[in-house]
Amino acid sequence: MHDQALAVRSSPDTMIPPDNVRGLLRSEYEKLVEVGMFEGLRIELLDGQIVEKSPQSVAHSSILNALARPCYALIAPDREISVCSGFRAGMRSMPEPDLAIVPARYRHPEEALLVVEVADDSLRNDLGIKAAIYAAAGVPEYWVVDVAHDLVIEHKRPTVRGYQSIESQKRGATLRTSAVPMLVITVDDILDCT
Amino acid sequence: MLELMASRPDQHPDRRDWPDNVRPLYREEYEKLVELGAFTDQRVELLEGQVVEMSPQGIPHAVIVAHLARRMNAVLPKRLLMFQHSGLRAGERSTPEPDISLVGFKRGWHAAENASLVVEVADSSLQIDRGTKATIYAKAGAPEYWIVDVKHEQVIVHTIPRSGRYQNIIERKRGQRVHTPVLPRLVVTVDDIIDC
Repeated sequence: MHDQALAVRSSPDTMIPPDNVRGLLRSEYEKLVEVGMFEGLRIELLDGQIVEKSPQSVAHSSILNALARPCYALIAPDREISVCSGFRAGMRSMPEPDLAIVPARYRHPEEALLVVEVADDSLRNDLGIKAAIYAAAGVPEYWVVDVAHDLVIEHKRPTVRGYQSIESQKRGATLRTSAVPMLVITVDDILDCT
Repeated sequence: MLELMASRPDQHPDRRDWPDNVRPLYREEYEKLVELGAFTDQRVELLEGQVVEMSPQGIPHAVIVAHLARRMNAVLPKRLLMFQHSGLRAGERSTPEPDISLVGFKRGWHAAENASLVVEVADSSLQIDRGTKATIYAKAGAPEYWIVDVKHEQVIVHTIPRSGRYQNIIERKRGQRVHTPVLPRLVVTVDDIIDC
């Protein structure tokens, strides 16, 4: 399943050879955000490409709440929970993770201790390009809640070439993270809240 | 594109991972970035919603452009202006920068539909010039589009844009003249253009 999600595709809609495509830099993307060009749009920058996010389903928000609620209760004072806000990852990406545990600072996060994406129709991006981006940005733990297959896919040991450890946790499994050491949550807790 | 993917050893060099749901960068957004100085000193253009790097201009390329521009300028009607490497608005998603464009005088940005003739000198950019750009210029309604194909020693003349493509594409070879109704007094052969 994961191999399929990473299948290579060619340029959408254009006949431009990929080697010539420069894409947008994060600095350019942030400029456009700043002047309000993207207002009202649900988009993020993934390796130089503007990518549209589909509107959040009810299930999606419930899962996020189920995850965020215990985190708020248990998080250390020097950390904070960032929900659906931009994360500066390298020169060419500004993903908006569904949930991230970041060091407490009053600016755009540039590092995260844990990132969680809830994948309903975004699975291919979440397991493919986003895993690559978070790994390259050194995010130590990355969870993908795979709603369709009843799994939480844990990514660990980031390198510039991706995560070295990827494990699918099925129902019955318990999840732990060093970002919130007190947190003990099961796959069922996350999936059954909907 | 991908700095991340490029480092992957198993990646075939001309096939890359594109995310799902890519949204184009619109011309309006691109122009805002130009206005904010984002691309100063960079050779880029917007093609079909993608910021594309122009290949570095070699000396033969520059010389061909300069000579052809001089010949055209000498016979240019008063109503037209000649631009070199200037952005041309084409549809909602493209601002190509053709090597030469002949456009009726107007303030501000110039639009491809008002360009009487567009010329691209192609060396390494042939694939883009024949493919993506031909589609862009045809869709925008530019009536005539030339590609000086340095490698194959020919000038490819595109006319009659209709339904997003040029209906008439003629390859002029060495020994043949290239002419255009836009510049009736222009007398030039493929050899004149290539051998300058």
